[in-house]
Amino acid sequence: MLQRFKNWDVRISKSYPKIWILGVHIYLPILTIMALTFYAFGWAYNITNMPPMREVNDYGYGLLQFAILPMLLAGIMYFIRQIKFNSLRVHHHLPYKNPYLSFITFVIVFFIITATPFIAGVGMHHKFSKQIDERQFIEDLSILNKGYSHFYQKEFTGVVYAASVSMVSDSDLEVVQSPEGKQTIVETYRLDKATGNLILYREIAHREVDGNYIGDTSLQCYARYGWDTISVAQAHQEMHDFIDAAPRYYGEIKDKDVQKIFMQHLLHVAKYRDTEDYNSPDFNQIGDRNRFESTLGTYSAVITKDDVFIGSSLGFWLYYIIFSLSVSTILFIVCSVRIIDFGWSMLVVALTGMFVMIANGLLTVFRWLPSNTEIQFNLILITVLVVIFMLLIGAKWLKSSISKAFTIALQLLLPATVFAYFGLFDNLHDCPYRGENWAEQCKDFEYFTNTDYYLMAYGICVLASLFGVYVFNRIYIRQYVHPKQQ
Amino acid sequence: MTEIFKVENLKKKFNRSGFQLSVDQLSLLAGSITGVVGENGNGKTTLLDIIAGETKANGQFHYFGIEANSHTNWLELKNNIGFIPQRIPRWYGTLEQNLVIKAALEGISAGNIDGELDKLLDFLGLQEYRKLNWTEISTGYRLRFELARILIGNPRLLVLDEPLANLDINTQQKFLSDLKKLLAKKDYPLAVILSSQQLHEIESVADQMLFIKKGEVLYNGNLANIALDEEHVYELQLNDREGHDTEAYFDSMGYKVCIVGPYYQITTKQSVSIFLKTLSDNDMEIKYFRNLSNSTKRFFNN
Repeated sequence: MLQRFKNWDVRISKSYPKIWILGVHIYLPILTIMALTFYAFGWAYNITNMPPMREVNDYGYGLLQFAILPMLLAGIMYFIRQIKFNSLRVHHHLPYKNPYLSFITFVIVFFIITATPFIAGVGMHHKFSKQIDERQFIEDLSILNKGYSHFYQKEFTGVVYAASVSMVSDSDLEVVQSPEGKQTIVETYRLDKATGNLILYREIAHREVDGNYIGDTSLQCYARYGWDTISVAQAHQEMHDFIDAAPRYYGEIKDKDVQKIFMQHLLHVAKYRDTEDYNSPDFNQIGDRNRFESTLGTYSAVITKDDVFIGSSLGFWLYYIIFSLSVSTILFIVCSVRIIDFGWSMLVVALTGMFVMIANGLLTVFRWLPSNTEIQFNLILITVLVVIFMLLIGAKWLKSSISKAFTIALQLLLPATVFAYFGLFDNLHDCPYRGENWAEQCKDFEYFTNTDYYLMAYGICVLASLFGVYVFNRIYIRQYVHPKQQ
Repeated sequence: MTEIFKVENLKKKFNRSGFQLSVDQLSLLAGSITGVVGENGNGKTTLLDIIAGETKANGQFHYFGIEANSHTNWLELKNNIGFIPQRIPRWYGTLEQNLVIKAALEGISAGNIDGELDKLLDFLGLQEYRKLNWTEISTGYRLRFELARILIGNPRLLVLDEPLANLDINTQQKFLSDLKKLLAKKDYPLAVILSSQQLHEIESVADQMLFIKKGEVLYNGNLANIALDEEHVYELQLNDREGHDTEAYFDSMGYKVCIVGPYYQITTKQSVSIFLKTLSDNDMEIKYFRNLSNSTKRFFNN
């Protein structure tokens, strides 16, 4: 077996030497097998009885942690292999003549390596997705959200001291002031006798989906707390609907007589609403409420690709690829330059960061500049630093190892510099107005403050990395291949 | 013969040490071996570094008939220059693996690689070591494997810096005879320039010698032209002669004598045969003798 592998390795080296040097023929199969193994581990998770999200996370994050060691091992071994066979210090050196072949291969290899810990979550997600009826869940969600407050009300009083009044008043809750200056927030469930309507404080959407769209984004189903007023008949209907839908999520109701439950709830509220007792009991008619809530949590996490399932989200990978890009850039540089020069460049990077921080610190402490000009100062500072770096790179009077260190440092800092420009420009355009007419007064200021802006900034950073490969590769050739000024 | 490399008015100054290398004209011809000799720190390595394109210098450089300037594609140009520095970088993996990769990168088809390698390794006597690693072979074999690796790329200019250092006398001779055979064997123009302290060995194969002293070229030409007028220079060591003043004897014979370590360096107009007969007639037992008349070694003591 080993001999057959060796023969195959030799055949690859003869027919595809660049592939051999890049180690793709060994690492891609190994990494693929590793990723598939973790996918299989994720897929193997038993979900016959829909497990609560806590258990799902335990299993998924356990695998994620387990995958970190092979990930580090694979990454380090690949790094070493490239330094042994594909760097300036040895003969078979591809980066100068085939920069993009090398760089893109590095990105692919490191992407798979860094993705491996999340692959188990992808396997789990695929299995859960098959088990879960997403359309049914979305239909049930509105029923469950509305009905839930009739069957469960948690300990519903709390004490807030007078100092926190402003916070409480913002929350649109009923506030009762006691003679001692304490204020009690009352979450309530009461019947308006004048109109015969039920007034209740409830979540408009279930809290497990807090902040996320569920499934079809057109539903725009946000979690939100607030007051709701409905007729008693409507309340009964909501309860009937809930009793039908909840068992699908392990939400069995103990007693299905809705009128009785409704009355019990009113009596429960009447008994405890004016008390300052922190430990008033929950009102609960759901058999295993924890199981019910955790099952809903699992459903929403699967649908929103949250928690351990985050590996199934395209948006996550869009940003996560920055890791493989960064490591690939470092490896590309290490392969293109002398290790000693790379070491000096690390010093330049560290000192540059320190310089920027010290300059900002001094500015803050001594107030040398008018307030609100820090952003302009940093823009100028970064621009000046970039210009200095470029001058030092091209300086013929400078010792070549120093200009090499600045060249490498500039390539390392390039994406961060681009992103810093975007961030500073964004901050520069922050609207200074605050208050009621904020939206109107600020409409001409906030061109940059949106997700697309940062997505564009991120995209430009990625392009800067790729462009950096082209530009710096030519500089390295000039510095290391052309005759050197000694 | 094709001119592989040519430089005119080469000047290289090191500002900190003040050392300056200066070569008016140097030309390396296809099929020739050029030896660079001189004392340590006189500019041999600098000259070879400059020729190999490792160090920048002023002057008019021509590689393979094309002038090298700021627009030169050195990445391509260096494909045709095989440079072996004094310290050879370590190889990773088996020696054969490295040679296979080099051959494949040079465009030799997969089916022909084994045949080409066999021919090369047979020629350099490396066949039995091909499966070993770098750390498992001696310095001499490392040098020959490095030469093999470079030769796979069919360079047109070989620049070897002190290749004989650290080699035993047999390996030195084997390496030099390999070089000579290589030049005869290659069916494309190839020039070799090498530096060494082993004058005798180098001169036995070199077509052209370059003697550098303190950065200046004192001699540049073939060995036959070294002899000055009718003066001969001999280097010898005699067995101990109790009660005889050898130096006084040489003076009495009208020889110019110079003592270099354990040797006498004699300058005379006598031919080798007459000189040796004279010594023999005076019962002098010769322990070591060498004719330096056509050797660059005679410049070392000037």
